Amino acid sequence: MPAQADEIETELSRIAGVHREAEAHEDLALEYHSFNATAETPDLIAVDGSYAFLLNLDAWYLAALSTAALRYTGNGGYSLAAHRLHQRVMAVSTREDFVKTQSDRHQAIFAFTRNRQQHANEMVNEFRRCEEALLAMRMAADHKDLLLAVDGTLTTFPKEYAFGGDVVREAEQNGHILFGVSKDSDLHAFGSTRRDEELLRRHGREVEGCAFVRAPGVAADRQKTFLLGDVYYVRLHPDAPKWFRVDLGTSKDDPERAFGLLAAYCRARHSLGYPMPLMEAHRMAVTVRHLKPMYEQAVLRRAKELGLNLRDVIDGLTHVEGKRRSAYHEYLDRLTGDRR
Amino acid sequence: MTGKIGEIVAGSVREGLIAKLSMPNPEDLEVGYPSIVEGPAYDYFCLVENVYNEESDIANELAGSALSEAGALGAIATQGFNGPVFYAKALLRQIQRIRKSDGKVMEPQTIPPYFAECRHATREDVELIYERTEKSAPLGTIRGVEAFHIHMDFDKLTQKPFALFGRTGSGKSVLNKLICLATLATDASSILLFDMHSEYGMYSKADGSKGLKYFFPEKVQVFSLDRKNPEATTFILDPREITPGDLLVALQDLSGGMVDTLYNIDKWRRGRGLDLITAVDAATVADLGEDVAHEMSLSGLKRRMTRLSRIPFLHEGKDSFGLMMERVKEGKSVILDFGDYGTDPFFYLFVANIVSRRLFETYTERNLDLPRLTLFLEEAHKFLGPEVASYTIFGRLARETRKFNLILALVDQRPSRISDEVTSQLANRFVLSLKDPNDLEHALSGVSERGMWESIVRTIPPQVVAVIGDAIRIPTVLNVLEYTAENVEEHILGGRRLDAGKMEDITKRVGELFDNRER
Repeated sequence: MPAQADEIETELSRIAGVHREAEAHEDLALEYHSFNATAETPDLIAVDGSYAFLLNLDAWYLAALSTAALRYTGNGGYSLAAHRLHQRVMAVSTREDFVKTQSDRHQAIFAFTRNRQQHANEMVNEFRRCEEALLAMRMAADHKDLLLAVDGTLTTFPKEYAFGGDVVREAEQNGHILFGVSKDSDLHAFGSTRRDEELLRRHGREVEGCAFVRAPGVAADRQKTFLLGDVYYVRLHPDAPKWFRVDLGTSKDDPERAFGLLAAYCRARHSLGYPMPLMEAHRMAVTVRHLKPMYEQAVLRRAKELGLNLRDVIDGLTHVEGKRRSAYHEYLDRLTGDRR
Repeated sequence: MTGKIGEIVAGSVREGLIAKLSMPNPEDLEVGYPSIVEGPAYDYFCLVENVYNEESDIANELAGSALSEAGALGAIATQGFNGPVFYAKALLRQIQRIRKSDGKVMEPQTIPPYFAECRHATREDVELIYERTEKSAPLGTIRGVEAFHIHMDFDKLTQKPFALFGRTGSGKSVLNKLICLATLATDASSILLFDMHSEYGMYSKADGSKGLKYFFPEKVQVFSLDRKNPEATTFILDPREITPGDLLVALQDLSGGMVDTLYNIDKWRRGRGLDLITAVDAATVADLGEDVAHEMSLSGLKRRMTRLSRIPFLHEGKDSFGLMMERVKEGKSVILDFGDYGTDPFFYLFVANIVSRRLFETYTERNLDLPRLTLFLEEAHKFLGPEVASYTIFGRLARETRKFNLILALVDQRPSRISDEVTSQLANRFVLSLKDPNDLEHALSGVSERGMWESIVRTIPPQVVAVIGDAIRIPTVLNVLEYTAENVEEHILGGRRLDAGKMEDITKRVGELFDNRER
């Protein structure tokens, strides 16, 4: 394919040129701070959530949400001390007149996510964040002087049904150190053409061991939402393959100690540099996706009892991300797969 | 060794149950351990057939990487929300199921549901399965359970042929001693044992441990081919009792010409009142006829038999077999000690074959009501191998003698060299460690779930035995009792413990024995 080969070369040259240009003009003075993982550490509570769409009927979507909180003790290894798992099912709609029949929180989330692509997904995702925040708040209230790590950024949107602020308040009142750890971040806080994570991956080699860099204050202005913590990029293990964005919600005056405590939970070989309890909270939360067939059975049973047309309901069953299984492109994809 | 070991994640009646292990370290579970899977209606008594780690993409990626040197925590130290992050699995084979409502023990014809909990078997579970009978005694403790002695029914064991298989160093001698002791302790049967290495009499020549005669002085009579043995009655064999078959077994590798010549000499000597050994020594080609005898075969045969011409225990007219039979009729057991002759397999094969053949003839041909006798045959493959089987009566002994109260107990390290016809007669098998695939296959031929037992036997260490047969309630893997006087007295003699009078008698006899040795 000579023509395509030429095109590949041309287009790649363009990309390479831009990258080289950016690199040449990139004059960033990153202020690294080294720290060590502490030997003794309080227990850590990790919170994460997940969801699975079940059904799509017209502008209505039905989804199952799951939030998990795991309390771990660092005692040489990582032992699970306790856990909570909350699961619920909720409907969201992409039509405002339908949403008006729902709760105030539904309406607030609808308004906040309006005009976004994949509106239903965005709404369910915000509900997931709410559920995570509620569970984190309860965990913070029920314990004292621990580490509390939630998945994702410590941000909230400016509506009355945002609980992020409440989580920070509960954590402060009960002596917890609150972290928001993002698995992947698209932030460009340092003003580079590269994403912050990519920037740190390249420049972070300058420093050895565990280290953190404070993201510039301008980062907050670039966020559509309110930041509830200080934003850092942290390498939580000397051999970690990745710098993670970590929002520090409390103990802001002593990030070195805070990250030293968090790093003590980042030594598992299979998740080096990432808090192992958060990985487990994630694994536990996504069980909602494994349980999807069970939820679907319940949906079909109840739908029949409620007099819904079963053919419509079956056609409306979705994949976890909300696409209808009966959509014609699904059929075409299957056909293509079979003929491959 | 108690508590949950995992949950069932797959399984079938035919292929066994797969458990996801909740223990971080799979080394805590071993092949052969008993376990219980708790279904809603039944408890399933299972044996661990295999413990394994499934291939994992993450493990493949991380193994061997620099990360392993970075002080990172390994698989064992990290506990996930659903058990170990890197978990092992175990294949559990259902052996029996126990109905929870009434404790009835049944065949495992169904399976428990997903997530059924598995745990180590406890003493209470095991007690439900294994029964004690009037003539039962333990040979060891069950593996993977707190010390619990498993009883075997020695009355059932000695009703039909059985075998003890294991490679060299696997613990055959110790187990054989325990089996003999338990047989005597339970009065299940008398025994006749060829003691090649002087291990079974009063004391073992090898390690000084106490033998059968020590524990049962009144039940055991020791005969010895070696006149130097002061505790034994000297064993004499009348050479007129020797048949060509006895020599063929002892000499094993005679050529076809020599075998023909031997049978021709046997025919020739009958009218002349000669025993076979003298006849071989005396015969010439002319005596036998040139058409049936050849000089080379005859002289070869004579050379091979010279070792029999100067043997002290061969004496015409003083045969000890009659005395041995008298003791057997009295219900006593006989140990035939080989003394210095035990180092030469020729003598063992020669004498054992003659005695066994004559026992067979006595038990089967004379229509007598004789007590049950178990004949222990070490190096069994040398009597039951295809090259000599047609000359010996052991095949018939294995097949037929249960009807006549003469039971064959095979002890061997090469079961693959024993004919299938014989192994198919075995009602019970004690299988110690075996590595050779052919030996494994033959040792377990005819056993149900043979594949499972092959994997178990292949991996078990020395002094551990798989016991399969009708003398034990279910097939079981045992840690063989350590052979000490305390263990024998506490666990095997048990209620049949020696009283003070018997102990005094033994002490006196031992004293006499050492006095004799000093002189």
